[in-house]
Order: sequence, then structure tokens, then C-alpha cells
Amino acid sequence: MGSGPRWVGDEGHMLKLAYDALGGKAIDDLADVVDDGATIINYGTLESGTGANVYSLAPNNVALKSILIGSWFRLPDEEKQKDFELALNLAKSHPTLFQVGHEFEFDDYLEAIRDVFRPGKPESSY
Amino acid sequence: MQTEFRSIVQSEYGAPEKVLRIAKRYLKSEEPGSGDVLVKVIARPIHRGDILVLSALPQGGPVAPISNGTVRVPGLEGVGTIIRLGTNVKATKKFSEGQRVAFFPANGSWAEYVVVSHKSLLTIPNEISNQIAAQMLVNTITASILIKTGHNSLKPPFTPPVYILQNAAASGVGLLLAQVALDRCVRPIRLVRSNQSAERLRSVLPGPPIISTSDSDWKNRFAKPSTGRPTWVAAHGGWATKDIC
Repeated sequence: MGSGPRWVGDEGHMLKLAYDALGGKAIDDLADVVDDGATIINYGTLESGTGANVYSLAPNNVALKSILIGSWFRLPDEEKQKDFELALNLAKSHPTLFQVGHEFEFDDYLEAIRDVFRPGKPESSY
Repeated sequence: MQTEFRSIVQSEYGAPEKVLRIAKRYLKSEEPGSGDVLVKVIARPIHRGDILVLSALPQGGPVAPISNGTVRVPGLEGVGTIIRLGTNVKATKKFSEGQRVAFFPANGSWAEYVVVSHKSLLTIPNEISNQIAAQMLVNTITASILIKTGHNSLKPPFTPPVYILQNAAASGVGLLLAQVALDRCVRPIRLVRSNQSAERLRSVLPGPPIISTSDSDWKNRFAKPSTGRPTWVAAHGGWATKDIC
């Protein structure tokens, strides 16, 4: 789609930040529609299991970051506690955001694992 | 008498159906370490990340070796009931035996019992179900990390409101990311891969725009005004949160 500013809001704000949970071609797609100098933060490979094509980042000067939850362990305890409180508040005020999929008996753990990869499913537990 | 319990274990990394098995184990002691708590697990989630790690796939990050003659118990999160408190935890009076708690991280929640540091515990009120409590920490923490990392990635000066673009917006983390963003006056634009997902997402979290990437022209929604094509907001009538933020 070419480089240069692309405005996404009626107030003239730019799109400088994108989040990717899919990996692979999905990163190319995000890089194509964000604004010049944007950052894409990858946090998963839900679909592809493939790496990013770095050449797709160049036209819009996009930076790519990748994070794992392990970075949270390095935070001070007070910061971690704030995230616990955030979880509690969200669970109280927006319980429907925590999608409950199937529940399985303990012995059926392999069936539960297979269910995780069913397309479009919410969380599974056992 | 030692308490016997079941545990999912692996003695090597690999595909779940090849390396996982149920093993009977015994609590060495019902007295946890001074800063720890013994929890009887009620339910634990299965995250894709759990599978990546137990399979030692690179997307899951580096894994610790499993020594010969030992086993690894997968799982970092869950909900359960406190059975015993360590001496130092008792002294804090923050927790009590019989209390229901969510926990993260734990060393092996895919078992019927787990020992957890008191710093990993969150007391769960009655209004929150086990199904939600079992999965509420990892996904929320991930959303929080994403928001913080995103904030730190934006180069000042920038003028609020900030717009973000997110794919897999109907996923567990995607839903929470959008909600946390909205609560902080950030405006998400949500991508999903099918119209069916778009409908489901709209019913769970209405408001911010949703675009299905199954539409061949979805990228045109991001055109700049100078092209004469409609901007996203102009075409879709504004933001549901505009009055709030």
C-alpha cells in the first residue's frame, strides 16, 4: 500500500502500534497497513508457526518486537500484584471476556489438549 | 500416612501424546516450606503456551532440561483450595486454610496438588467461578505486558487517543487486550479471520470496530484521506467509547 502517513481516525491520529498473535503472513499484513515508523508486537504463533518475513517491515519502517510471558517474572512484586488486581477486577466486571470452553475430567487430558487446537475455541480446562 | 495424588508428568520433551502420562505421586509432607502454600487443585487451564513448552518448540522459549530419573509436571496456572500454609504465610494472616485461590506461577499445576509461593496466590471471591478463576491470571498478565510494552514503544510526542491494531482479537488474550486498552482510553481496531468470529466477538465485546480479514478488500479500510477513500472511522460512524474517553 505504499509508505507515507495513513490516517485511521476522524481526528487525524495515526496507527503506530499493532499486536500480532498469529505470526507469519499476519505480520506482513499488519506491516502493510500501519503507519510509517510503527511497532508491531508479536506474542504468539496461533496460526502459522512460521517466522516473520523481515522484508515486509521495510516499506513502512516498521519495528518488530516479540514477547513471552517470562518477562513478567522479572517485574517487582508490587507490579505483579497490580496485575493480579487487574485480573480480579476484570473477572468481576467483565466475566464474559473469560471464555470458558470445554471442561474435561483429569484422565482426559489428551482430549483436552486436542481441544486447544480446535479453531475458534475458547480456553479449555481440566 | 502419605497422601497419594495423580499428576500429569513427562520425562522428556516432545509431542503430548508421546511424552505425557499420568503418574501416581505422594506428598512428601503436608507441611509446605515457610513461604509456601499447599493447594488442592480444582481446575487448571490448558494454554497453547503450555503445549509449546512441553513440546520444547522454539515458540515457547527456552526450556530447562529434565534430569535423568526425574519428571516434569506441566502447567503454571490454576484454581484450588488452600490445604496447608507455611509458617511465614500463616504469620501474614493474608490467607487461610480452606480458602479458594487462583495461582500463577506454580511449578506443575497439571496435578491434583501443587505447592505454590504465597506471592503467586490471589484470593478468589465467591462471585468468580472456578472456570474463570482457573484462567484469569495468565491471559490478563499477557494483556498487561502487551499494553506496557506497547506504551513504551510509542515515541513521544503522541496525541491521545492512541489507536492500536490487533489481530486474533476474538482470542482469550485478544479480548482482554481490547478491554484493558479501552479502560485506558486507547482505541482498538480489531482483526479477526472470519465473519463468524466477527459476530462472536461483537456479541462478547461490542463497540470497537471489527474487520474480518476474510474480506478481500479489508486493507482498504486503512486508506489515507488523500486517496479519496473513506477512513475507517468515517465509514463506520465513530467509536462506542467516545463518550467515556
